[in-house]
Amino acid sequence: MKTDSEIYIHSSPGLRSLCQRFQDMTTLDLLELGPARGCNIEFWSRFSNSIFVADLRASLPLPPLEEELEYPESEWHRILDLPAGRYFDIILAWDLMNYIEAAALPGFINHLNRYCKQGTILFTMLIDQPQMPEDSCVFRIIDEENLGYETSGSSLRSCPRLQPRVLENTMQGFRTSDRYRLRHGIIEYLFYYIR
Amino acid sequence: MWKKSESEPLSQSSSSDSQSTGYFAAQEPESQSGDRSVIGSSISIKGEISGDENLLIEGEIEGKIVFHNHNVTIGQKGRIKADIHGKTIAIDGNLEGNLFATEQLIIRQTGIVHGNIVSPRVVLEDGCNFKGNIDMSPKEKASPPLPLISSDDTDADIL
Repeated sequence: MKTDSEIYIHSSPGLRSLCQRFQDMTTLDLLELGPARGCNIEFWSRFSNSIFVADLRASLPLPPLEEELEYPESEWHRILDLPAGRYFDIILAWDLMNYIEAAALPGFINHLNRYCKQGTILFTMLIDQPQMPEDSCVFRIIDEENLGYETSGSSLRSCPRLQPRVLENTMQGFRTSDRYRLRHGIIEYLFYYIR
Repeated sequence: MWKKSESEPLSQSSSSDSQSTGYFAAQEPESQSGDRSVIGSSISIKGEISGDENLLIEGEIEGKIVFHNHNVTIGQKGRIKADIHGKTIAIDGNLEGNLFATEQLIIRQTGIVHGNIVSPRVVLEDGCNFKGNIDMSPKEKASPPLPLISSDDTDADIL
């Protein structure tokens, strides 16, 4: 159990926008790609009675591939085993895209496509800094406008600094809805899915 | 982005841990002694267990655990591969299976759960490990049974 983690609170216009879109909804189906956190489950329970927690963070970094240049989508079925025939309204990817190798991102997005429907919103963040924490952050929803970034340890690694255009081109099936560049080096994205 | 000067650090035990208060507060299962049975850490069971008292499991169980009207606690040493039905279910140990709690489901700091949860109230303590679906819809809420034939309508068709 980690004991040396700290939480930093930042405003999140992406979260605010997401909440505004769904404020009148009570039957959302939500996919949380990050780890389970009680405060987040409590927050989302206002909008949704059904939340699937996939905790992809526990599977990162991805095991290296020996020969293939791209991560096959079939690998994603194993890594991210989601319920067949389910279509989510919201997908929370947090900062995980920064921790997935660029070669693996297209397969990841194609895999997610199977669980999207017209209008599915995917919330993600790019880190635009030379360095980023060694491990992906755990995010805690403080309220509709603020997120807590929970870091474990102080070690850093180089950041892939995925460019917005590269990310947007990678998001097969999705279109950019909102993009917010924040002062602390994060770009928040809301993508929506077009069938 | 990680500079303290740009944001306000909080300790883990700060009041922002909303899951420790209010509606989602973890409530201890009733009757921690007396009317509770214990399956000890040296016991291994395969099959279905059911009963009418609270249960603490520290052993290993594979199968099904049905205590609809009572509380089930999986202790830190508990290793379970089973679906569990109970009133309040608390997990401190390791579980692979689905959980059906009619009142509340608690996964504590040391709990590791891979499976789906159906419960009107769910408490996930910081540090717990959970993968699966959480369904908080009130499907399991008891509704008063409808009479098949009302007293003043005894010749109504029953479909």
